Amino acid sequence: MKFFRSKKYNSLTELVLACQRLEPSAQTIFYERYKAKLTGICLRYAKTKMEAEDIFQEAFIKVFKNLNEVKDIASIDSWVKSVVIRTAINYYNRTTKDQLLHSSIDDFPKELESADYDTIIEQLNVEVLLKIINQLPDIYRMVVNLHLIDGYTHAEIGKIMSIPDSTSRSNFMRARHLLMKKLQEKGITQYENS
Amino acid sequence: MKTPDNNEDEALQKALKRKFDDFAPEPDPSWKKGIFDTLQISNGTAYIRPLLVAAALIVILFLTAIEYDFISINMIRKSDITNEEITVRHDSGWQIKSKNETAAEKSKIIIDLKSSIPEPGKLSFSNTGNMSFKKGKEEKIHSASKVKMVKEALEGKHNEVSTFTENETARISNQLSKEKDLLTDSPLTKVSPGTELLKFNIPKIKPLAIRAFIASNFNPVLKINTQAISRNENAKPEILKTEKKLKFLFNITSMNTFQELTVQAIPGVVYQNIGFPTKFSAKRLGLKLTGGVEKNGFQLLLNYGQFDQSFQYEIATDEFVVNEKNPVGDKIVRKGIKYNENSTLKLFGIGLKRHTLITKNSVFRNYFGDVGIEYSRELTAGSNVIWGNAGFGKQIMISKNTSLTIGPYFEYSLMKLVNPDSKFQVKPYQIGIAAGLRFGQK
Repeated sequence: MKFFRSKKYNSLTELVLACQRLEPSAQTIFYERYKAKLTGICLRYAKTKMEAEDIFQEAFIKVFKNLNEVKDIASIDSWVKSVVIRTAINYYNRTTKDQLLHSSIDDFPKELESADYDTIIEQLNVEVLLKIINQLPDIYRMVVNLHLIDGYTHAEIGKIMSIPDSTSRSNFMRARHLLMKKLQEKGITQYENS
Repeated sequence: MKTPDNNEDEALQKALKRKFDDFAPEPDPSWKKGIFDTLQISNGTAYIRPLLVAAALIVILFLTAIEYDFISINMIRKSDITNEEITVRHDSGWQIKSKNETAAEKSKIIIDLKSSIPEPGKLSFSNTGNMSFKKGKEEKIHSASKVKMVKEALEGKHNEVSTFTENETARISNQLSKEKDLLTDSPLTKVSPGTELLKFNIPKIKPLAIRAFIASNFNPVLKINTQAISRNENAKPEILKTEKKLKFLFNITSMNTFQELTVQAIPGVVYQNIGFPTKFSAKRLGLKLTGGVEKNGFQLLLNYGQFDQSFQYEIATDEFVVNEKNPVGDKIVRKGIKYNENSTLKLFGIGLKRHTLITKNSVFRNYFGDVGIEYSRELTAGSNVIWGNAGFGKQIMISKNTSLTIGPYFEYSLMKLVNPDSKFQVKPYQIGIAAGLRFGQK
């Protein structure tokens, strides 16, 4: 039994404005609107589900606390997404220990063509694919997510992660190769099992 | 020009984007709580408790108002019909009477006035307004100012009542009775109630003068000016205390909960950043309902209450982080795993209380003080708690049988509750406002 009927907000602008006025019902609706999408982002950037939870909560708190700064409400979706991504990166800047990144570009032979990776990715279950990304070292996982999935340029990545563009580029090259290697392994395993 | 790597990037990008574009899994429901607790956002049901408290208080006040009006109307109607005596002070001989009886007495005064009027021929008035009364060789002279004063006294403008010594009263009574005997043939003796005195042909005598004369030589019965007595502050009636009858009580208390937390040392575990909700928040609000009986100032009460117990803490890990945002300089902070403890305590118990009401005439009249002890059983964890409690406030009579009590309330747990999850020991205490109704004859 519902004691209180939720307020209706006719548009996203009304909802955001109500959130800016700290109306609890609006904040609840806002949370419901973004929770699933942001969970997906957090799970991609995090190594484990627990870390994803930390990032998710920290990000949402930042979103609610900084919602007043949003002037262009039409771009709220991308703003919320960027807050989550920045939170994830900060999280790993705070917690990541120096990882030994010995992955060399020449470490594994290229046996597959680009179309093959497309096929492998298509065939893989999203959870399996997520697991492959989660297993990447933190810096590689960040750059794969930022560049390949979220579409940031290396210049933007360099700015977000406070590293030179070139570092981002080289990180990405290593990350991409490691990912392809893992995909290849997974593809072969899956092929052998099928 | 695109390199093979660029092509691979594009292929990967497209494939991954396609795969993750619709990736939106539902988060664990507990994730929300962490966010909303931190932001102190009420999530719908949190509204319910404060609203229930407010609603209950409104209902009490509403019922009180209705009952007050109803009883008041009844009392007025009753007093209109009967000459019910309200309060009697036996020792002084004065009587405080109902309005109706006052009216009856006024009629009696008029009749007595008529029956006590001396023979007209014995009264003489000067042009200056002075009046003289001849009784043998004695002559009393009343000044115009005295006439005015008596007039005011009769008309209720003056609170003072002329006082006479016993000898004077006896003398005047005696004199009047003698004078009355002489009036047998006077037309005034034939006055019947309701007939105006002025209809009679009494030349040279002004009604005011007659009234003034009678008032200054009044019969003891006339001396009782009920209006004056009711205003006389020296004649304060003593309230009779008959508190021995059984009373029924119902109270609702809204309380803010605080807690003393004891963290027991566990080898190898370091707790840090322990925090509580802000001092005044819905999360701290507790509610308590009490019902019971009272006799001789002792109250036996059954009560049900609930309040939230919430705090957060971290278990320190072996990792340290450098906080670059520190304005003083980099600060090394030990990283911790955050835990939130949120539980609702539901308590059912029995209590004994001593209720003392101040009935003496002072600024604290009708203020009360309560002190008591209570045993409660926590229904979720099954633990026992003993509370000490105290309260004070104002008791307002709203009808003959009902009174409203309202005032601050404090209760303190004499025992520690053990949190089942964290094994922390918590000693709660609560401060709030209690409002209640007391039913039963005074």
